[in-house]
Parts: sequence; C-alpha cells; structure tokens
Amino acid sequence: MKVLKERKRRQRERMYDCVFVGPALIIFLIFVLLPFLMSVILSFTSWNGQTVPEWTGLSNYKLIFSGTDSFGRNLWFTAKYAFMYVVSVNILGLVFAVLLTNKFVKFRNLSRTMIILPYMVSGLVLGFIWQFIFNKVFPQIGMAMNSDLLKTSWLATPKMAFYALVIVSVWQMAGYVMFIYIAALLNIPSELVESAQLDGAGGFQIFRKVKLPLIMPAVTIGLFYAANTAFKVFDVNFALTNGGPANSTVSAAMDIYYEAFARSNHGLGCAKSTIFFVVVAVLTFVQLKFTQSKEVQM
Amino acid sequence: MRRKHTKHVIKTWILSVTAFTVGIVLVSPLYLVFVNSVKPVREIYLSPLGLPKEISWDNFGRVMEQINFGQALKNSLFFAVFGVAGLLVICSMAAYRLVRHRTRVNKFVYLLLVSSILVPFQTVMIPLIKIMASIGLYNTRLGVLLAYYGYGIPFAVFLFSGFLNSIPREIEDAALIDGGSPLQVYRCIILPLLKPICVTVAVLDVLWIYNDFLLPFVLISDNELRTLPLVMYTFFTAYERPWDLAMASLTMVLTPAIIMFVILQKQITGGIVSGAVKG
Repeated sequence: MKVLKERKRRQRERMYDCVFVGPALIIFLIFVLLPFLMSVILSFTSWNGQTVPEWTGLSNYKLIFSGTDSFGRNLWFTAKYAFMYVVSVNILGLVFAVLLTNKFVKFRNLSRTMIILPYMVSGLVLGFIWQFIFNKVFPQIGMAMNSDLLKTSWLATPKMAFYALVIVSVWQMAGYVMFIYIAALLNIPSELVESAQLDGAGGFQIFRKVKLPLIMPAVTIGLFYAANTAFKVFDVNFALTNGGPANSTVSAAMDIYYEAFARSNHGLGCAKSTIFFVVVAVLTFVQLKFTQSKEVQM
Repeated sequence: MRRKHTKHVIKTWILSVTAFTVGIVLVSPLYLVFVNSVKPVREIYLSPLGLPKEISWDNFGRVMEQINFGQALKNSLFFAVFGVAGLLVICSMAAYRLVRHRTRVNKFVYLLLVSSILVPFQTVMIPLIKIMASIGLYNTRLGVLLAYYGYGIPFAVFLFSGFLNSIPREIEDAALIDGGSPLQVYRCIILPLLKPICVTVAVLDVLWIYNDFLLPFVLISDNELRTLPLVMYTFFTAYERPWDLAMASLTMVLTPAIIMFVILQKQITGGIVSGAVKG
C-alpha cells in the first residue's frame, strides 16, 4: 500500500515537472538545442543549403586551421577588438560610476540618464548614426580646425576603422557597465569608508584598498558581460563598417554570416560557428575563474 | 577651515561639470540625428553640427512614402510585448519547478538551459532557418516569436532561479502541506513575490527584442513582417545614401525608444542593476 502511494506520488510530481518545465524545455529543444546539434553535424559536411549535404569529414576544419581561409584572421581581429573594448568599457564605466556616486556632485540623475541613453539604441541604428558622424561630421570639423586626424573619414583606413568600432561599442555600453558599478559602490557600508578616513587615508588610497576589493564581484560581472557581448559583436560592425575597408574589420560573427549567406557555404559556416562557440565558451570560463578567485568575501 | 571648505566646493563643482559634460558628449550623436532630420540635404552637408536655419518636415514625409514605418513599428512592438509576456510565463514556471524540485533530471535540465547563455546566435542561425522551414514557420510571426522564446529562455531562467533561491520555502511548504497543488502555490504565492525580477527580465528582454536585428533578418522575408531594425537596414543599404532621409528615418526609429526610456526610466535602470547583481 505504501509502495503504491509512493509511486503515485512520484508520478504526480513528474507530471508537475512536465507542466511547469515542459513548455520552456520543448521550445528550447526544438529551436536552440536541435539547431546547435545540427550545426555541429553539418560542420563535417559541404552544403549549399539547397541540395543534400555531402559528408566531407574534417576538411572544413582543416581549411580553417590551415590559415588560407579568413576566419583565423577575423577571429584574431575580434579578439583584439574584444580586449580593447572590455578594458575601455570597464574603466570608463567605473570612472563614471565613481563620479556619479559622489554625494556632493550636482546633476547626478541627469548625468546618469544621459550616459545610459545610448544603451537604448539598437546596435544597427547606432552603427548608422556613427557612420554619418565619421563620414560627414568629423571631416567637417577636421577641415575647420585643419586637423589631419579628422579630415579623412575614420572608416576609410583599417587602423582607424578598428578604433571607430571600439569607440562606438564603448559609447553604447559604458552606461550599462556604469550602473553595474554604481550598484556595487552603493552597497559598500559607509562605516568601512569612514573608518578608513579616520585612519587618515586619502581618497585614492581608500578607493584602492577599501572600495576596489569590495566591488570585485561587480568587476567580474562587468568583465564577463563585456567579454561575452564583445566577441559576438555583429550589429554595430555590420552597420558601421560592413567589414570594410577591404575586409579589414570583419568580426568572427560577420565572417560566419558572410560564409553562410553570401557564399552559401553552409558546411564551412557551421564549422566556423562551432569553433566560435568553443572559443567563446572557453574564454568565458577562463575569465570567470580568474576574476572569481579575486573576489573578497565580505 | 574656510580654505578646506572652499577647496571642497571647487572640487565638487569640477566633478559635477565633468560628469555633466560626459553626459552631454554621450548624448550628442542623438542630438546630431534629431537636428539634421529637419534640414534639407544641402544644409546637412554644409553644417552638420549647427541648428537648422528653418525647420522643414519634408524629410519625414518622403521617408513615409518609401517605407511603411507604422507597420514596422507595430511589428517591433508585437514581438517585444508578446515575446516578453511569453518568456515571463514559461521561464518563471520552469525556474520555479527546477529550483524547488531538484531531481537529477531537473538539475541536468537546469544546467543545460543556463549554460546555453554562451551559445552565440550565429552558431545556430543556419540550421534554425531549415528547421523553421520544415515545420512551416519560416517567415511567420509565430516562428519569430518561438525563436525569441528559445533564445530568451537561458538568461531568463537564470535570473528567475537566482531570485527564487533567495525566497524562503516555508510559506510554500506550509501551503503544500495544507493540500494545495503546486500550480495553486505558484499562482497565489510565488507569482506575486516575483514581481521585482519580472520587471528586470521584462526590461532587459524588451530592449533586446525591440533592438534586435539578426534574428528577424534571417527568419523574415516578407516586407509586411519587417521590424524597425530590418527596415533601417534596407533603407541604408540602398545604393544612394540620402542623408536627409536617413536622418529623418533614424529620428523616427529613435523616438519610440527614447519615449519608452523617459517614461520607464526607474524601472529600466533598476532592471539593469538587479540583472547585473543577480548575475
């Protein structure tokens, strides 16, 4: 009797599992897991999207690793971009946060609002806006001030286009990162800061020795979030430079996109995207482990 | 004593001006878009930075002739609103069960869902199109909506479960012992408590879906279904680059987002903060 009751109870619990978790799980399996697995399998084929895929084993991967394909170069470009972006956006976000958590600063709310406003803008729209600025506005200013730096459009040379991309991305996300740091800074108990002040520590010392260690969890989040979004950059890149000039600013995500939609090499595209996933996953883990080990327990 | 006070006041003012300037700098590109949208083409080329000599709404009229802005806005709002509504329902339910009923299967499912946060969309977009086509959902509203559910689930479940972990179980356990079903407990007890995290998820996901480009780009081919980013893209990749029309169209796309922001400011910034903290 007891066994029967137990079995019925378990059946009921399982039914509730299905009811609660079912919808989300089913949608996830069909639209996320299945395409992902298909992508991995298709990476071992050659496929143009219309005819039957043809098994080619590791040839796609060999092509990518041999360096003749552009993916390695573009992945490296993405890494350089990501590094610059992650560092810049976190430093700026932190600086803005420190500025705007100072009790005595005026116009605090207005400034915070203005700084976060760019985050509301779609990446694509952002890229187009800044295309206008780099192509039309800067040259105008450059001619007026006779500055060589500004006279030529920044999007016309690979080196400046790289910086342009970093600037636009940072412009969009600095506010978001700033809020992460503001939340962390506001969570620091004022007693700790006050006792440090009583001990005679100056502002900068207090920041380095007291505040910074205590906001390390936020630094983890800031770095994690920035790195994650940096590697996947597509919208801003697509709109701002579209890979130009001369394919010098093609991010990994854009490379995959071109491979699949412009060149119809779906097999190769899937191989690239599988490698892309592995790179993103590994980097995220490494970075999480690294920063988590530095967090201070309060 | 007075000198120290003056030094302090000066320092405060320097910081205030610096912060405000940073704000102005960050907002200036948007100013440029708005200011240039009411200028005729030639004036844009001559003085892109200055205020317009006179305001002309001409550009907006011509943009409206070329693109169906209203329809695109409706589509964007549709996906944002129904996407978020669906995500809130299915993810809160899933997270609740996965957190409270920790069987081996559930723990595995949880890990599977949350680790997918790392999957970039590019990795799955190619097969996703084929899957959509084979079940007849390619180029449909439902298809795009389901795709948004799929890609929103990992992060939403992560946020909900983090929040749920901080809710003490006593109330639910008492209700369950009293004979309530998990569904009743969920509806009457949990759901009201989840309001703050629902706001967070809603804010972050509305922003994501409304501003998203690539997903609708690969799943939609009908002009009728296009979202705002898609319309902007087609507009900007026309072979001629009419900057006056471009500025006007950008203004039209930016305005709903900015209005939404001004109205929901507190919720948005609160959502960003708690979204980050829970992470």
